[in-house]
Amino acid sequence: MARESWAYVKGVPVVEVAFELADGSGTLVRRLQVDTGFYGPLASFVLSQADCQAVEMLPGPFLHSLDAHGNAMLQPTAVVRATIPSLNLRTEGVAVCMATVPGEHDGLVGLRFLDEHFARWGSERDSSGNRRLWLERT
Amino acid sequence: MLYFKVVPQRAMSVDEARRLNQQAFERIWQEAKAGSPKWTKGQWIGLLAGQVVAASLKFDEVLGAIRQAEPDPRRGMMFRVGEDYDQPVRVL
Repeated sequence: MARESWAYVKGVPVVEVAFELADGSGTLVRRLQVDTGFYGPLASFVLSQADCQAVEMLPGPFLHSLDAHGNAMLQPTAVVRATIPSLNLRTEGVAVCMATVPGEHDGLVGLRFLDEHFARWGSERDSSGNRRLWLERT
Repeated sequence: MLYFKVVPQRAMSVDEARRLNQQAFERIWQEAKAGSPKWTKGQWIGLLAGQVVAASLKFDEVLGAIRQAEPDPRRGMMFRVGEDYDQPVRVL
């Protein structure tokens, strides 16, 4: 069983995910806000268009999306490979690529990603009183 | 893995290749949704110029087939069969 945790940043839970660069030269580490309001059948991540260009293994299909105001849009997507080395996780996923990423971090990770790859997750206060998000794999 | 023919597409613009890939994606998605035995749930599909180049449950096999056939990744597309694309992605 492997477990990792990250301190909340700016009051919200975050996960650090390393995306493999498309040219194979390394990884791009991004701090993603865990957002259970971001959900959908396919996409696991929301990234900026610039990040998508760097980590896109191949384009994915354009997907119908709805913004906070219920406006329908077609969003480009990228097929990406994501890793969390400390949890021995390496997986493929689809990122929605947006010109402006919602929130104050590098992007979003949705409930689907947690559901697919982790047995348990939660939030706790550390000894300093700071809240942390934890993920656990079996 | 199933391999299909590779279509020469150099004369085609990237935008045209993407348009054809999107059309092919929507056709395959509809076929899969209708229960066509041609497609298996969980299978990755690789497209070039609207043609299926590779189909496999293994991501690396499909990615490798596409890259071997076309070094410019902007001209390809990958997706997984069996996802419920009817539901919009919601970003709040």
